[in-house]
Amino acid sequence: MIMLIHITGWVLFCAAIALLIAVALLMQWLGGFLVTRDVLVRDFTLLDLELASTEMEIDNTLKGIAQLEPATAGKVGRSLKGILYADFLFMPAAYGAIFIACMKVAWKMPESGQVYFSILGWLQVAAWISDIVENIYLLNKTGKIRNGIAGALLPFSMYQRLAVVKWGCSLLGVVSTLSALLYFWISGWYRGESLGYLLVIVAELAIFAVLMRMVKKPGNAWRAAVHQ
Amino acid sequence: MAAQPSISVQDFTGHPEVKKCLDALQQKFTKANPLIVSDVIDEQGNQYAHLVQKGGGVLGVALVGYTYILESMGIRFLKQAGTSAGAINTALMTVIGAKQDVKSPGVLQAICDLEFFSLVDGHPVARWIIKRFITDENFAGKAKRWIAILLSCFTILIAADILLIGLQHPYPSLSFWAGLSFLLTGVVFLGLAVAVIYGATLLKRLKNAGFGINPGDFFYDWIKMQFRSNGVNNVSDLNNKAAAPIPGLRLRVPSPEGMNDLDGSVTFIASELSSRNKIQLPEMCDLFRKPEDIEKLQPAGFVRASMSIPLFFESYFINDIPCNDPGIRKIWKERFNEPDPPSCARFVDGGILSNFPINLFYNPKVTVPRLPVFGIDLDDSTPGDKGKYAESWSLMGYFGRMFSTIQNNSDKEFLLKNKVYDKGVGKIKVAQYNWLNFFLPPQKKIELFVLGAQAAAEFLENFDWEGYKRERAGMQATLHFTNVNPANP
Repeated sequence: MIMLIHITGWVLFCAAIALLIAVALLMQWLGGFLVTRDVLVRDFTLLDLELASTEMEIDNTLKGIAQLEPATAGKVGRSLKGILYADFLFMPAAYGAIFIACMKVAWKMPESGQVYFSILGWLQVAAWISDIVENIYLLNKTGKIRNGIAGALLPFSMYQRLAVVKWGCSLLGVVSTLSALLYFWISGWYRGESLGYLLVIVAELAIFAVLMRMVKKPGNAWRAAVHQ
Repeated sequence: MAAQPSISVQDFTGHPEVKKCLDALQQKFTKANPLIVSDVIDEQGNQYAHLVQKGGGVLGVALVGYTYILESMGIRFLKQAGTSAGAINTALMTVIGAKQDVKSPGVLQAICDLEFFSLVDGHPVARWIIKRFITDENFAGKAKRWIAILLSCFTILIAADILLIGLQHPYPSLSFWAGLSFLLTGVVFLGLAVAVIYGATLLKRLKNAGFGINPGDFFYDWIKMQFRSNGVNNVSDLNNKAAAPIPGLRLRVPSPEGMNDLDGSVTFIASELSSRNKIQLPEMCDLFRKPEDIEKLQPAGFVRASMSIPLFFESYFINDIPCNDPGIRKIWKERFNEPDPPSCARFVDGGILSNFPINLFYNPKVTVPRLPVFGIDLDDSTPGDKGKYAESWSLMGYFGRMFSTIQNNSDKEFLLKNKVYDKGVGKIKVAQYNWLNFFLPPQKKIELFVLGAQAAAEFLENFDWEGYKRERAGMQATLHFTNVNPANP
């Protein structure tokens, strides 16, 4: 597999980014329909649930969905579940892309750099597992709260630690590889044929930026109506 | 999160200074020279007054010291009102025990059982920042220093990146350091980006939370528990507690008004932003619910509404007001001349409109008062108040001054026009304490209590009931004369 990544690394990377963008757009579209009632009708995002400071905060958000108008609550519930399921598709694309980038950078590095970037690459597996557990935790809570039973799959402190592992590993991976790639770029230490991949990625990001504006519109209009 | 009490009621009431105050009063007022502060008394000989308590965050502990001394000297309260912290004490003094009972030890017990910092129930980062800002005077300076250091590191690293990239061609051995420098730049950038994004997320949360850092849920649950444990579950329970009959209530000397209007009541002041009005709760409950639904309102919410310090706490909301109901519309029109009532009321601290609502107990029908209106003022002014030097204000100081001018205006105006009411007001000097310091160590709470007790003792030593009556009667006579002969103001 490592050899495959070595040979077709950037092709796989571009494919992973394409999948990541597609799923991110889907999640963004679904995210437009996330509102809850915590005294008032309030918008929320998956990040609010993932980075909650207390378990009560998650519970209040989820319980608040049930307090909305039944039709609205149904739509929010379906959207939230959709996002959480879509996140399972987002994960291999995101952590896979970071893994590939780390490995590609590692091969261009001196020995110490190789070790550092290889470790960073494999740490993405830990991030992926943490994200899976985190998602299952939220799905479980969503189901339990819908059925009127409070409780969680694992202690909240564990959930918070998983979030630290997930964000820590992935962000360090992204920033380290981007720094290294920038260094290679400025030093002129790259092969000419790699530029094609760079163009593909830039094109993908441009498409993402354009589509992002479009997918936000239905949710914005729907939320505005709910707030009224 | 009720903490294990680290202080007991005895630590407050048994403090030597508090005992000294009580001893001095008991020595001064004997059977031969009794303390007389009111003509309304009960069968146990307790004297009754109306009581108004000022708002002031955690300084409210001093209010309890004050009421403790008054109660220890046989004074009880018929009608009570308060804003913010004053509303909290008022609420507890209303619900605990019977009307003729001593309430302060019960209030103190509730304070001892409460970890004040639990009231700051916002995001942990916000809690940390609030704590640092309040407990560490140099925090802003330190934070600025750390930001400067981080930005300097970032700048130095970028400079090193440029330098090392340029040098690595003639000196290939530097390429390792160039790579490392890029990596470190990335890590510092990550730190800065995370801080900025996290800060932005917190600001977004603040907006979603109705611009309140702390939800105030802990306080709401706490005060609801205090109400419930004292048998107050709905608005009627609260009103019944406040107006409970007092055994043997009578007048010491006859009065033309007799016992008319000598019923107890309780009032919490809150500011309602949707209609821009000062709301007196529970009296004005009928603005928000039809008569048959009033019991659905939670009385603990009235206190929560009164203490919603803007920005510090989320606003308190009363949703689903039947604003199209003819009865509700009529009440809004009559009370506030508001033809279009809101469907959702949003309350913030009553202190922004009336932090010391002593005007509530002004009764123009009574010529000679039967009982005094006592007020407890938390005085945070200092002789060397820098705020008086207008040219030295910062932007925050400028806005703060503007806010406090508006905030105190109506109460101050009432007291200026009705100076006799000032005779019933005791001032507790609390300038050296921060009203938002929810991290008060036990010793400071005791200090505040002692200050309250000392202010009460000083007040009682100087209070002259006959003089007060004369002045009030004189004021009423002047007003009557002015009303009858408008040409002679």
